[in-house]
Amino acid sequence: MSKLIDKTVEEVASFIREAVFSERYAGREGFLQSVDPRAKLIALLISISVVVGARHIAVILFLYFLPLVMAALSGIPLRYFIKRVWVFVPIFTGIIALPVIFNVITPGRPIIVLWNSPYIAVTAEGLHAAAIFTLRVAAAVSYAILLTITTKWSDVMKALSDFRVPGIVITITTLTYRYIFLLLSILLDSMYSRRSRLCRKLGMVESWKEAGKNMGALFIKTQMMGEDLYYAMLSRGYLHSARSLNEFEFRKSDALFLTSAILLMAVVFIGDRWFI
Amino acid sequence: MHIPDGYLGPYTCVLFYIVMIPFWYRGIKWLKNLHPRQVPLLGVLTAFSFLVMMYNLPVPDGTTAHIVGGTIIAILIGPWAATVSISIVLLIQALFFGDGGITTYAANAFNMAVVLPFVGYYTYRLLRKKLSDVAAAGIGAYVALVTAAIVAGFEFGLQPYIQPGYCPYTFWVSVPAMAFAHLVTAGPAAAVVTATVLWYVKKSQPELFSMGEAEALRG
Repeated sequence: MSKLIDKTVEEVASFIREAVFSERYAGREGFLQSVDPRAKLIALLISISVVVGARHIAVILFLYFLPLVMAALSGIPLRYFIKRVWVFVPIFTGIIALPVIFNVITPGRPIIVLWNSPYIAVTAEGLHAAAIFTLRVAAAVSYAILLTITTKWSDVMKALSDFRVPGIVITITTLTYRYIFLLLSILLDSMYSRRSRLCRKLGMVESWKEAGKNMGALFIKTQMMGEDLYYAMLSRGYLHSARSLNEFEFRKSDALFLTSAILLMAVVFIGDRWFI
Repeated sequence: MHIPDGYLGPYTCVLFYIVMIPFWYRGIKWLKNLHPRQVPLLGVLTAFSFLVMMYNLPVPDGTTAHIVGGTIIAILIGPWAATVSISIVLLIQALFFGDGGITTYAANAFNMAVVLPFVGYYTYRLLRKKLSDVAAAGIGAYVALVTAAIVAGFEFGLQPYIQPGYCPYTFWVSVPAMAFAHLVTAGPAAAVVTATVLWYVKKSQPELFSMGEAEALRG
């Protein structure tokens, strides 16, 4: 069967699965779910900046475990969380980091000698560099995933608009998110219908052309939908700006969460820079 | 080409946020001048550019590649539309799907939402005088994707010179690696796909094809 169709369908299906899963945990009762999304967003930005700026492996390791504790407190199964973090990016990162462990890239004290001529060995410095790089990526990804897994899409958008992201950007982003799902089902249908009419494997260039035609058709449909959507919005009272119905309430517990997050990250940052 | 968090050091990340400010400012100004009728259209088109990245194209090394679609949007609607749409797509991907990063968001936006559509668009406009629209679009997409990849390679390659612990390879490794992969695999795929999309749109809805032209005239 054609790789284009099968792989694309697979990608679309996994996308939908992830999206549905994320929303499922966001609706549950839990520690992070009860925090004001604005506080979470600020805490996330600070934490990720500290992760990216951290220099010591012990500090990065600590920063990696913190989101695991948060996830557990928020009722997210740890296996699902860890899998989601490591499957997405860091496995790829690990492959990139692999050559760094050898003396060819990072000279240093050899730990395991693989060959004598040419001389190839795993060095302590190399292992350290690869570990720091991989762990840092994993930690940063953990924080980002933690936010989205415990917060509903509409709440993140509302938080962004409270932070003065222009209304028109929020409107377009919200429309985009909604229409991704509708267009996905159109994309899936067209992939399936094409597949059911195929009686042989598609060649590589042939499948690129097939993808091009499919995208072209999708573009035309999208274009028509945009026009219809405008009239649909207008007939429902759209006044050129979108409003969110729920207002956030910044409670004492949110202030406490944000203050502790800022304090903790400040201590970690200062410790990493000056005391370790 | 999405750079995840942790690949670029703090100085590079901050630098790209500063670099992106004028582009986003201009993009938002462009948005505010849109007719209200065009706002929902841009929303669905942004969803379209999100979906374009989901097509898995088989490439010669046995794996699959994606295209960004920046050149398609830049030609059909205009380069600023591409900057806005792809910045929004990258934001959704970074925040919700762990694809790309939050600290590296501005660098990703620079590569894919600025370099890619503008290089693609102007290559297309330049070549169109000599070649057909479809061929010019294909070559534009190819040049754009390869340029964006080389720029990303430069960003990676800078890291070892600034401070250790981020992307470990210097220019000599990262730029050829990024350029080669895109020259022989994703690049040709992007060229054929983009050319086919334009050919298809031009054939079935020629009036949509002239939207980008009107946009260019308005400036």
